[in-house]
Amino acid sequence: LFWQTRSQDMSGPVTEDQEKLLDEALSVVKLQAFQMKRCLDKAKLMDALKHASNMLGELRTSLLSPKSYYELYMLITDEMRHLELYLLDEFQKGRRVQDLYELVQYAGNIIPRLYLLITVGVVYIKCSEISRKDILKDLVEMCRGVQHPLRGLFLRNYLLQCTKNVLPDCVEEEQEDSGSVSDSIDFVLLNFSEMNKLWVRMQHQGHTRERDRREQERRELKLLVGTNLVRLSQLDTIDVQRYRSVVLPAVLEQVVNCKDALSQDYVMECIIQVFPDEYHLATLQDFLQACAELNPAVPVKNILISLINRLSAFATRDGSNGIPSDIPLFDFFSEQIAKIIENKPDLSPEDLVSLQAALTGLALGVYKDREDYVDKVLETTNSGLDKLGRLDSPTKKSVSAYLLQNMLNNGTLVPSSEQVEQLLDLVRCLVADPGADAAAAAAAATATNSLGGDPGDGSANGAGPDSEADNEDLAEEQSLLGRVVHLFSTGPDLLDEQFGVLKTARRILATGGGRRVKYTLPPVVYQAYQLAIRFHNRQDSDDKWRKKCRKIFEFCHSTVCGLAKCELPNLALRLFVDGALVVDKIPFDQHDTVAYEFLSQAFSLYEEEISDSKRMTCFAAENHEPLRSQTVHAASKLLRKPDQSRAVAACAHLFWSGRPRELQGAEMRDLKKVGECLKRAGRLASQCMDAGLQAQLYTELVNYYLYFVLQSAGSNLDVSQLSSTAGQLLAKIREILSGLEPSADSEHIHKHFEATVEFARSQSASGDATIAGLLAQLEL
Amino acid sequence: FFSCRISSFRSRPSFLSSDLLKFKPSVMSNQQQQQQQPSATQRLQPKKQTMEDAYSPPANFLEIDVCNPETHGLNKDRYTDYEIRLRTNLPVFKLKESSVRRRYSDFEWLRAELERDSKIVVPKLPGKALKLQLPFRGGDGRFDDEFIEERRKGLEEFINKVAGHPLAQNEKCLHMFLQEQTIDKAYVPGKVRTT
Repeated sequence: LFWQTRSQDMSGPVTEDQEKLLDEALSVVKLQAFQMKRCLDKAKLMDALKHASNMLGELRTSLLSPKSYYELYMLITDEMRHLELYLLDEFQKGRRVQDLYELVQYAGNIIPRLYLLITVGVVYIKCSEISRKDILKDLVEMCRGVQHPLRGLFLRNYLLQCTKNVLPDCVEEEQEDSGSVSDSIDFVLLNFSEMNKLWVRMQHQGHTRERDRREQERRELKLLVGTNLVRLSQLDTIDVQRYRSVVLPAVLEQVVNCKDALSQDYVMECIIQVFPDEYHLATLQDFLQACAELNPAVPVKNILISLINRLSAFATRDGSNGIPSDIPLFDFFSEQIAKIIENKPDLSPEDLVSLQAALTGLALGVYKDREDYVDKVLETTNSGLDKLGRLDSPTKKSVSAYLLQNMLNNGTLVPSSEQVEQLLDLVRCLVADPGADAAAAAAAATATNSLGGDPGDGSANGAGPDSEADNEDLAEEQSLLGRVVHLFSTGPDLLDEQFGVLKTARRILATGGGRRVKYTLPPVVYQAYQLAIRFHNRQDSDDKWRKKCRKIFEFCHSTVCGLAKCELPNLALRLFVDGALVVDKIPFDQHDTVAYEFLSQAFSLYEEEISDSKRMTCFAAENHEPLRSQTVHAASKLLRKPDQSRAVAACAHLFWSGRPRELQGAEMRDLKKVGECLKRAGRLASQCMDAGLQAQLYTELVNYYLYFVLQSAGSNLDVSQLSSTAGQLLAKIREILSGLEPSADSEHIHKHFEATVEFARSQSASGDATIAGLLAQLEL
Repeated sequence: FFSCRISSFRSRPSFLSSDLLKFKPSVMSNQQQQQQQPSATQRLQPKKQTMEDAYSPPANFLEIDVCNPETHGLNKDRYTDYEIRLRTNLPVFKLKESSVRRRYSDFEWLRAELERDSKIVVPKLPGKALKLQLPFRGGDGRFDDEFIEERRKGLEEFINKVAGHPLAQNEKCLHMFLQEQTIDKAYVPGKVRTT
C-alpha cells in the first residue's frame, strides 16, 4: 500500500463530471430511500437499516465538490428523518429495539456508522432523559473518527442539526445524567473547535495551483462552522457572566490560534452578529485584544467598523438606555484603533480614514455633546496621515477625497473656524497646488479682486496643459470639496461664529486658484446668503443685525467680483442675481443700494457677455430660460422704479441676443418678448414721479427701440409694433421736455434726447430703404 | 450490513467500547455500573490536541510537477528533457523546493535502482516509443508534441507515486534524482540516514 500524500488526494473534480457524478449518487439515494421506507412500512428494521446504510454510503465519496456534496447531503438527511420518526414512534409505543445503539455500530464503514449512531442517539435522548449527557458526549467525541475535512464538516453539521432541540438548557441538572447548560456549552464548543480545525485544514488539500478554488470552496462552507455559534446563542440559560467567562474565551482561543485569515475574519464577524449587544459591551476589551492578535491579512478594520456601528445603533435606538456610563466606549475604541495603527505600519490610508470615520460616527451619534471627541478624531487622522506623508500625490488626493466623502455620508459637521482650518489643512492637496501658501492667499484676499491669479498664471494654478481627464478629475474633487463647505456649520445659534467660519473658508479656498474656486466658492457665497437670512430672522435678539447683514453682503460682493475676474462671468452673474433676490428680502439699511449694486454688476457682466461673441458660446451652454426669468424677476423687484425700469429694459437684451441651446447658437430675437419688456419698462417709467427722470428714462428706452429696430433691418421680423411705440415715446418726451424747468439735469436730458433723434435721423438718411421705412413711423 | 453475525458478546468487534453497554434499554443499577471492571476494550481518554497540532499545515505535503519539456541538440543527437519541480514539507527531503532537468533514460535508471535496492513494487514507466523511431515513419516521431505530452503525464504520475512511498524515500538514488543537478551514476547506492 502506498502512503497517501496530499497531492494524490483526488479533490480536483472537473465541472462537467460533477453533474454526472451527482446525478448518479442522487439516483442511488432515491432508490435506497424508497427501499428503506418500504421495509419500515413492513416493520423490517434490520433490512431498513441496511438500505439506510447503503444510502449513507454515498456520502463516502471524494469526487464531489462541496456544492454537489451539499445537495447530496440534503437529500439523504431528509430521508433519514423518516427513519428517525419511525424509531421515535416505536420507542414511544414501548416497542424498544434491543441494543440499537450498539447495533448500528456494526456498520462496516465509518460514515454510515456515525450518521446512524447520531440518529439513534437522538432518538434515545428524546425518549428518555436518562444519560442524555453521556450520549451527547459520546456522539461529539465519536465524530473524531472522520478526519476528512469535507465529510467531517457535514457529519458534524448533521450532529448539530439533530441535537438542535435536545441540548440541556438549565443551570442545574434536572435529573441524574440529564446534563446542564455547561454540558451543552462543552458539547458545542468541542464541535466548533473540531469543525474549525477541519475547515482550516481544507486549504492544504490538493495541488498548490488549486489554492484559489479551494479558498472559494471554503467560503461556501463557512455557514457550517458558524452554526455552532448560532447554537450557543440559542441557549437561553447562558447569561452575560457565562458568556464572558466560558464561551467567549474558548471561541477566541480557537480564533487566535488557528492563524488562518479566512476563519478569523468570518468567525469574528459572526460573533458580532450572533450575540447580543449587551454581551459585546461587557466583553469589549477581550474582543478588541483578540482583534489585535489576528493574522495580518485579516481586514481588522471591517470587524471594528462592524462593531462600532452596531454599538452605535444599539445606543441610539429608541427605548435603549444607551451605553452604560461605566464603559468608556469611545476611549476603548480610540485606544484600540491607535494600537492597530501602531502594529500595522502598512495600514493603508483609506483604512485609517474609514476607521476614523466610524469613530467619528460613534462620537456624533452617541456622544453628541462631546465635541472634543470629534476634535480628537480629526487630530489623530491628521497625525496619522502625516506619518504617511511619503504618500504620492494621487494617493493623498484619493485619501482626502475618501475622507470628505465619508464626512458627507455621515453628515459630519465642522463647527468652528479652527476645525475648518484643520480640516482644510488635512486635505490641502485638494485645496491648492503645492506651493500656493497662506501668504499668497492673504495677499490675494486683501486685494479682494484677485483670487489667486488668472487661469493663465502658472505659479498659482500649476503648470502644464490641462487634459480632458485632468479637468474631469479636478471637477470631481472640487465639487466634493464644495459640498463639504455646506457642512461648515456652527449650529443654529452661533451666527457670528458662522460668519467667521465662512471667512476662514474663503481665505483658504481662495488659494486654490481660478480652476478650483469656481467649484468651491459658490457654496461659501450661498452659505453666506443663508446666514444673512438667519440674521434677519434673529433681528429681535440682536440689534446689530443690520450691520452684520451689510457686512455679509460686502463679503459676498467681493467674493463674486473675484470670481468674475477669474473669467467666470456666468457664475458671477448668477450669484449676483441670486444675491439681489436675497438682499431684497432683507430690509437692512440701504439694502436697496446693495441690491442695485448686485444687479448692476450682473448686467454689466451680461453686457460684456454680448459684446464679446467668444464668450457668448459659453453662456449659451447654460440653461438660458431660468436665467432669463430670474433676471427679469429680480429686475422688477428693485425698490426704486427708475431702477426697475432700466433693469427690465436691459432684460430685453436677453430675449434678443441670448443664444439658448435649443436654437443651436442662433440668437433668440424674440421680438414679442422684447416688445413686452420695453413696454413694461415704459409703464414703470411712467410711474415715476419726477418728470425729468421720466424723460430720461424714456429717452433711454427710445435708444433701446432704435437698437432693436436697426438690428432687425434685413430680416423679416415685424418691427412695426416697436416702431410705433417708439414714436409714441418720442412724442411723450417732447411733451415732457417742453414743460421742464431748466436746470443742469434738464440740460443733460435735452442733450441726450437731441442726440438720440439725431442718431435716428442719420440712420434713416443713410440710404438704406428698409431702415428708412422702419424709422418713418418715428415721425422724426 | 453486518460484517459478522451477532450471536454472543464474545465475538464483539474490537472497536466497540464496553462503555456502551450502559445504553441497554434495561437500565442497570448504580451498583452494577460501579462493579464493571476496566476491560481491554475500554475507551481511552485521548490526550487533548495542542493548538499547534490542530492548526498547523499537515506535514505530508509533497508535490512534484513534470513540466517544460525542451528538445536539445540537432538531428540525430536530439533528446528531450523535462523540468522536475518539487515542493514539500516532509522532513526526509533536504530541500523544501527543488528544480532539476531529467530525461527519459534518467527515469529508467531510477527505476532500475529502486527495483534492485528497495522492497517496493516499482510502477511502470510510460512507453519507450520504439515504434516511433522506425525510419520512414511520418511525423516528428519521439519529438512529436502529442507524444511528449503523453510521456510527460506518465512520468509525472510515476514520480509522484514513487516519491510518496516511505521505502523509496529511504533510497539515496531517489534524492539524487530529485534534488541534485546531475546524476552521478558512479555513486554508492544506499539508504538515507535519518537525522
